[in-house]
Amino acid sequence: MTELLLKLIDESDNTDDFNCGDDDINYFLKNLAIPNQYRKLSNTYIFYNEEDKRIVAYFSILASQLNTGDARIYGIDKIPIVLLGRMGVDKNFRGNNIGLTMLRIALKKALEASKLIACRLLLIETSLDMKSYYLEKINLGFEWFKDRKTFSILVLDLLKYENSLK
Amino acid sequence: MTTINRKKKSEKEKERLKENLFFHLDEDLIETEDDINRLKEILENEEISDKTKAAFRSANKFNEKLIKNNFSISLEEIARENKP
Repeated sequence: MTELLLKLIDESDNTDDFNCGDDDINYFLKNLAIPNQYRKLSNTYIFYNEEDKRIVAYFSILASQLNTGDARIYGIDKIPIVLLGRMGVDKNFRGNNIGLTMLRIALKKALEASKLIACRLLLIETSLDMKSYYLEKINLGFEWFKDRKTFSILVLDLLKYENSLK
Repeated sequence: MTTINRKKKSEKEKERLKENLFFHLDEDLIETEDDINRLKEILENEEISDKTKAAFRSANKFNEKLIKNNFSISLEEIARENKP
């Protein structure tokens, strides 16, 4: 049985062996996740295999905002959000529903943050290929916001999540 | 010529990777009137489907269990309890 531990990344963690097959996602974990964490720019949570000391999966979250410019919603021009910035699962561990598990954990973290400092949305960027996975397959409350050239922006309303638990 | 282009492309790719950006395009997400309207629609719609409600509750239950187990979980349990 493979035991995994969810924890915040720190400099003792070996990031060298992680490979999710995406250069951007690998680069972030190996070069930016730890410095960002110490600078309080983003927090990176990892699933860590205690047996072989390897990182199995990770996601990074941070506070951000949606600038509405001159248009105001509820009288304000910035909507506070939690950004799920990066997420990756090592190639050797695919097919174990770790991605969905990380999303469920990120959702809980975002809700906790929103209770403390008020954040309305959890926002992610996904490839167009993965859009239907978020919107149709997992049914975790993500809503389509807009498409860009090769990516889609999706949001999840944390108020709805909070109200569902009452 | 092709070699030079390839080299340039590769250098550009390396530069891009060094950037500490969370999105592929460093632009504001809200650019048009449609974007504003879509955002308003999302924020003002209070309806939640029963399926989504159930998914939220299930996610919450899973997180409570994870906390109870000091954030330790087996891979097999993850696969079993987090099916789409």
